[in-house]
Parts: sequence; structure tokens; C-alpha cells
Amino acid sequence: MDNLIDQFQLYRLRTKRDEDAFGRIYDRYIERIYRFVLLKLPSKEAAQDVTSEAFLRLWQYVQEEKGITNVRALLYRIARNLVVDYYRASSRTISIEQSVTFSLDVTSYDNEDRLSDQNKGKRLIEAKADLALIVERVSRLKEDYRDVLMLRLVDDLSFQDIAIVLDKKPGTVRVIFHRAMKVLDNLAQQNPDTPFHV
Amino acid sequence: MSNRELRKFMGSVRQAERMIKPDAAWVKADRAALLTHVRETLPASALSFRARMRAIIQSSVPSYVVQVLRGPAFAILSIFTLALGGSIASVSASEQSMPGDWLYPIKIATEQTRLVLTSDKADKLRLKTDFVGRRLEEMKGVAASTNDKKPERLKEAAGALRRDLDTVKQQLTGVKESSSFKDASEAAKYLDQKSTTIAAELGQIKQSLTDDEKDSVSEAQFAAVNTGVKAMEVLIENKDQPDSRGIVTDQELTDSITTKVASLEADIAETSEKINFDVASSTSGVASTTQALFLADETQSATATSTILFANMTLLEAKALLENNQLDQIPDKLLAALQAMNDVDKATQAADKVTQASLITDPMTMGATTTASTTQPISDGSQDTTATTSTQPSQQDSAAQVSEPPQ
Repeated sequence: MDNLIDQFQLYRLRTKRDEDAFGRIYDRYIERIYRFVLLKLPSKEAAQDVTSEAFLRLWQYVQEEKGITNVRALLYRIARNLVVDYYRASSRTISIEQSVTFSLDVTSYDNEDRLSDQNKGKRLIEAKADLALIVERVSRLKEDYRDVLMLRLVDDLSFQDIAIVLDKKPGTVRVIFHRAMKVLDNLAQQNPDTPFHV
Repeated sequence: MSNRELRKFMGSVRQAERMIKPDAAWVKADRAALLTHVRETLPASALSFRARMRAIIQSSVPSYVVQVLRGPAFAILSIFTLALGGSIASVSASEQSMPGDWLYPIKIATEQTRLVLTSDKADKLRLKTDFVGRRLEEMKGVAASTNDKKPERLKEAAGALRRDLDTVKQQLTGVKESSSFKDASEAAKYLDQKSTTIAAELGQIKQSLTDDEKDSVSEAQFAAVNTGVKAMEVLIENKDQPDSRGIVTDQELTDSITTKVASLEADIAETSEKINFDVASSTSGVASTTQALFLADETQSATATSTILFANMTLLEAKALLENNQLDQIPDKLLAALQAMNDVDKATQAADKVTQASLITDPMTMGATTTASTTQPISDGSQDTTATTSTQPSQQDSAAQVSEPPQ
């Protein structure tokens, strides 16, 4: 259903020259793409730059009249490649721990709402800590395992979409996911005292 | 932690993670900047119907499906579209395609469609003749290319040309039998002119080709001359019919015959020179291990020489008939001479390949050949005599062979 909505927007963009159709695509995916790159980049500013660039690249795809069968997967793929380019250009190494060292202002949507909801803030901090632990475990996995796990469990992409993002076959993605879960489970069993806040 | 627990945990993490949102102010500014850019780079003109259809297909059909269907679907669609009087991008784009291009089958399919839709046999013959002209242009394009696959493509193009020439020759028979004298004569005249041009241009193409590449082109050239002679035969047969008078003048017929005779004479001269050269090299003194091979070669040369003489005599007879205005016997003479020269060409090509192979497989012979040619004449007198006899046939011998044309 999601893809159908996206395809309709692309159709309006191509045939009716409706620029608002691209705006609607932007609205649907801006938060997801921002979150996706934020977890991988060292700062909010870097995440904003990469997110903007991802949508510009998507527009280029549309202009070049390349067939786009899955907008969401394509956006994730573009964003992932831009993150790689970011580190390649700045000669930095990707540090998973660094990528999840949030500060409160990085995650603020509405400062007033956050400050007014202490429980929500506490929960958020705990969740971030858990996420950091998970990521730390995940970082011990092979890159493919890590990517598939995060895209599946955090970004909630289907195996089909993950296959497009990572340029693999859906069957391969499923196998990687199950193997990654097995490895992660083994890692968890090796550290039974990990204070996960379930 | 079990997988189930891990999944549950990850679910809660996911919920928390979704609390992460970008700054609203930044989103608003970024969105506005992006849409400004989109507005500025949107094409002004609305999409054509074709582009809209393509947009729908791109949006609804996976790209790999489109690629799979593209080939045969477009070929079939082009046939129906052309039948309805329209044209699509693929059909017009295929007009310039060459053998080996992926659009080439569409080009051929389009030609076949046009032939099917042409009911009159004479019109069909004229149309097919035009398509034969296309095969020539394709050959010229392939011959001029520097593609790695040039030999294969040249062979394919020459084969297609030869087959099409044979087809029009058969169609000419059908037209002669079923159409009016006028229609048959008009179609035959067109075919004669076209095939004469094709034969001449193929001769020019051959000059820039290797010996291996020439074989297939020679076959196509033979087919072109053969078809031209057949067309000329129809013209000669119909020239005195009331409704075909004026379609071809006596002078035009004479010119056509003269052109064909001259072409065959040039072929005879060229092949004779080549045959003598071959014979000369085979008697320059070689080691005994290869002498038998060269004797066989000389035997072939003797047959080739007598065949060339036969062809020459036949052409002289054709000229005499032309001078006496006995045109109806000329086509048979020309066809006989043409067939004789075709046989000589094939035999010569085969002999060349045998000679090349023997030089490669017997390196000792190559050294001995050089030495023997200057200081050591052939030691075996009998063999020498045989060689002399076979390479210099007497006039009597040749005359006897002329009276019995080779098969």
C-alpha cells in the first residue's frame, strides 16, 4: 500500500508536473531517513546535510526518468551510500559507539514538550542506553549482519526493501537476518548480566 | 536472552527510537528549499501521451519485467502498429540498425510485414529488391567497421544478401508467370539495374577485405550477377510483347549485356593472373615431402585453366550473338560463363588454403624451398616433366576440354 501511494505521487510528479507530489514524498520519509542517518553520523548537522542530499538525489533519479519501483528502499539506499561517502570524504572511521552518543538536544523535536514530560525523557534516555548496548553487540557482527539487523529491527523495513537497500537478494537477506539473530543471541548469553530495560 | 525476548526488547527500542525527530524549523526550511529546486528544474511542457504511458509503466511494472518483455513485445507491437498505418519509436529507430544490433530483428520483422501487406507480386518484387539494397548498405557498413566481430557479421550480412538475391530471383519467376508482360518487364528492369549496381559495389568492397573475408562476399557477388542475368532474360523474352514495348529500349538491353560481359571478362583476367602466380610458386623447387601436394595443386590449376578458357570462349560467343542481335541465346551463355568462373574461384580458394596449410605444417620445406629455387632444380626428372606438362597445357588439350564444359 505504501509503495502504491509513492508510485501515485511519482506519477503525478512526472505527468502533471505537480511539485507538491514530491513534497508529499518528502513528508512521508523525512523522519525515517533522518533517524536512519543520525544513528550513523557523529552530529546533528551531518545528519541534516546527508538527509537533504538524499532527497536531492532522489529528485535527480526522477528527473533522469529512471524506473523507481520502491521509493522507500531507494531513499534508504541513497542515504546509506551518502553516509559511506561522508566518512570516506572526511577520512573518518565509522564508530558505532560514537554514532549513538546522543545528547538531549540532538533528539529534541519540541524542547518544551520534552521538558514537560519527565517520564518520556527518562524512558528515552534508557532506550538510548539500551540501543547503545545493542549496537555495541551488533558492532561485533559482520557489517552485513549489522545492517540487516538495524534495518529490520529498528527501521522496520521488509526483507524485500532491505534487499534493495543492500543490493542483495531477498532470500539472502532473510538468511543473514536469522544468522545475525543467532549470533546476537549467543553474544547475549555470553553476557547474561546485561541490564536491558525491557 | 531468547530471540523472542530480544525481539520484544527491540520493539520497545524501536518505539523509543521513533521519538527521535528532526528539528521542525530545519524540516520546514529544508522542505521549502527542496521544492523550490524541484519547481525550477521541472520541465515546462506537459508529457506526451507516449511519455505518460511510459510513466505509468515505470510506476506500475517492475523494471526487470519491462526488460524481459521489451524485445518480442515491441517487435510484435511494431508489426501491428505498422499494419494500422502508425509508427513507434522502436520501429523508426530500428531502420538504422545493422546485423548484430538488438533492434535488427525488428527491422527485418518490419520488412516482412510490409511484404506480407503487399498483395501485388510485381510490387512485392520491387519492394523486396529495395530491401536487397538495404542488405548491401548493411554490408558496406559492416565492411567499413573495425568491430572485433566484423568477420562473423560480414559473413552474416553476405549470407543475408545472397539469400535475398536468390529470393528475388525466384519471385521474378512467379511474376513472369502470373503478372502482365508490362508489370513483369518493369519489375525485371528494376531488378536488373539494382543487381548490376550491387555486383559492382561488392567488387569494390572486396578490395578492402582479407582473403578469408572475400569468400562470403564472392558468393553474394555471384548471386547478384546471376539474378541480374535472370532479370535480363525476362526483359529479352518480353521485349517484343506489345504492352511491354518502351519499358526497356534495345540500347538499354545492349548496355546491360555489355556491362555483364565486361564484368565477367575482368573476373577472368584477375583469376588467370592469380592462377599463374600459384602455378609459378609451386614449381620453384620444393622438398619431396610436399611435392605430391603441389602436384595435386598443379592438377587443380590445370582444370582451372581449362575452365577459364571455356568461360572466355563462351563470352566470345555471347559477344558474337550480341553483334548479330540474337539476344535470346545470350543469357544462357552468360550464365554458363558465370558458373564456370564461380567454380574456378572456389577451386582457387581451396588450393590457396591447402598451400597455406602445407607451408605451416612443414617448416623444413620452407627452408628447402628457398634454397632449391635458386641452386637445386627439381632432381626427379619425371616429376619435373609431369609438372611441366600439367602447368602448360597444349592448345589442343584446352580445345578438347572446351568442347566438354565442366560440370
